[in-house]
Amino acid sequence: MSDYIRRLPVYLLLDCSGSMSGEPIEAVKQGIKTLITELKGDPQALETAFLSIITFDSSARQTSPLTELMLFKEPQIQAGGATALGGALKVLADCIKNEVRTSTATQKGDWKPLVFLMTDGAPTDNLDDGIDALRQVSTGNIIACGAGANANANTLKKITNNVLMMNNLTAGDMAQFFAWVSSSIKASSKSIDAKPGEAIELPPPPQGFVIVP
Amino acid sequence: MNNNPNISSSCPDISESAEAQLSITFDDAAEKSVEIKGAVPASEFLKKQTLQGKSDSAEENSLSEGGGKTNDNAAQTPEKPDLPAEEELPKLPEPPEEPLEPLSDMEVMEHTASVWQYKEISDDGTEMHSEYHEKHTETGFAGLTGARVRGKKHKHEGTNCDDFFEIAYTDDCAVAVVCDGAGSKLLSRIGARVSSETAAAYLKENLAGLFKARPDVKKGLCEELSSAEFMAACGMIAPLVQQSAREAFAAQQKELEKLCNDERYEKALGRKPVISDLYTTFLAAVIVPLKINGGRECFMACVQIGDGCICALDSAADSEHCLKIMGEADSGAFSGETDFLSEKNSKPEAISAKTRISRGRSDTIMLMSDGVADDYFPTAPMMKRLYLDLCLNGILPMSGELTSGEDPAPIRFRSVSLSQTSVALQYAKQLLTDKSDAAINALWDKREMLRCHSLEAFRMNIGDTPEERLRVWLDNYNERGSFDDRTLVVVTIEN
Repeated sequence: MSDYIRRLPVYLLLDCSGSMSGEPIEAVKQGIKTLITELKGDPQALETAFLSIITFDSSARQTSPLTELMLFKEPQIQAGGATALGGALKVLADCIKNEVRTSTATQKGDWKPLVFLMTDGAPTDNLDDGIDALRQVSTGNIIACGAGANANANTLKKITNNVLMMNNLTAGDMAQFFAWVSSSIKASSKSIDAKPGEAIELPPPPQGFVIVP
Repeated sequence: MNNNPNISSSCPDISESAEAQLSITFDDAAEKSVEIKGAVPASEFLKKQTLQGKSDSAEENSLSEGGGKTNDNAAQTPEKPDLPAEEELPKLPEPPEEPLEPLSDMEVMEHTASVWQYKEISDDGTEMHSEYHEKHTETGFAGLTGARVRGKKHKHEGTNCDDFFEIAYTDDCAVAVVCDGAGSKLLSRIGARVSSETAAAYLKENLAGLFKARPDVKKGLCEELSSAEFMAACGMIAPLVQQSAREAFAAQQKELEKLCNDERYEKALGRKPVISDLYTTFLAAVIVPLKINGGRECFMACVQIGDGCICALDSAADSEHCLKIMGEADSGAFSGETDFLSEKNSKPEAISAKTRISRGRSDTIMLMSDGVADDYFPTAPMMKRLYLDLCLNGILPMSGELTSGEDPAPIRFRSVSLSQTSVALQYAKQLLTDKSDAAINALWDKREMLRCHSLEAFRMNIGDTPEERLRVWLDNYNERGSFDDRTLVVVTIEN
């Protein structure tokens, strides 16, 4: 009998535009690596969390489909091109629609997805189209992180109320961001009462990150 | 029960059904108080998260009000250019489209079995609860077996078990109470302990008094389900079960006063304790075995506030008629919202909707916390699988011929404990052809032939007493994504 467990789907939306070239994109790659290693050491995350990565530059794509942590392979990513954030949200909406199981009378569906968005610039495509697409699906918690001087908090606020700003794009800051994502996923996958994806209790964001009210 | 309860029946014709189930409600529209477990904001950011989680609408959750309303021009023209100037890089080859063979739950659990850690409960000066607790009583008319174990999550983190249970009996009836303290509340285990102890003691004392003073009550319970005598008898017992919830909550309040005067609690919490620190679910059942026209029947009155499950099974009936769900997860539309015992939801108008009365041929009554119930969802028909699991692992008796063990063999996992012994358990789901309801029903109907798969057939034994076997089973059965505290009370009525 194959059991359907309630998965905690986690989507990472990562900006791979040209401005991320160099240190920032390397830091992102390292961040993903660390994230996977961290989560693989946590039995609660291993049993419940599933991870997907969506990258966007001039267009957006799902680089890694929603995958069991134990099977997750780091995607190949590189920086270049514009910032198709709207497109990324559309891809996210499609992925959620196709990959996340909903509850029925006889089957407990997945927990609502946990979405982390990291971008360093303003969108160069139609963001509203993406937001509209996202409204059609049940998304759970979206946390947007604007990185560096060119990220715009007001733009991110249109997507979600949970906006963090990090001041620069250094490897250290990026590492902190991914460490925070890791502890958020752990907190979420283990919160048995606050069911994962719902009223989750995320750890406080790292120092130097500004929460946009 | 003084104001003429509104009675509805799940069976169209009560008189023709051996398994009539009555649901007594005073006011279905009674407002439900829904609390979100886990909503303890630690900062402004967390507060925001929590508030969002409470919202019913995912769209409201994730999209701010202004979202999607900006004009296209604004969206298309970046407010700030993406710097440095972007150059088109050659596209990376698309990742190879090799659909990965998903891992089975068993493969994942075989791996995580070695990752789970066992940590002793760390002592912060507040009330400590034992690692586990087990209890068994024979009353002459029933066997009461209960056990609770600390969940893997709490073992991994070195925290207390938040579940508690209590069993009791009088000459005429059995009482079982199960409470599951809210996991996010640091002192909820105390609420769970106080509530189960208080409710069980209250029910024991008052039911003993009632049956002694009013012989007509037990007689009334044996009358026709539609008769005034039966209703009057229900009207004597159900209010006691409801009152036990109020007594439990009153005891929580009293306990809180005590904790407030104890500086260790203020130190552990960083503030004075408040009543929500003691929040717990509440499941209580009164079980009265009856002899009606020479046959065995069983009357039950149950109250359930919050998640978990109360159910009754007739071990002699076929799969279609064997199971009654007496109480179900009382959670909100979204998971994560669950009810807790509170002043508001133990008020008469609220608690009546959480009260179930039943009389039928059931001989096995089970009360459990969500740590068990969630592993057997949906409760119908999965509670039949739970019953079979208890049989296969020697916790409930099993009939049929005892032969030597036949495949599939019991599954062994390393226990999350100091000793790290590996414990072999049998799983009814190993015997299912598929995961359909029909497969579970088919398994139930051939339960006489399953003994060859039991631990006994494999010459295995997980304990010397029923309560030890129940505890070892609770502590060791493995389900992926299941790491909550587990509590199960099983009441079996003697024939």
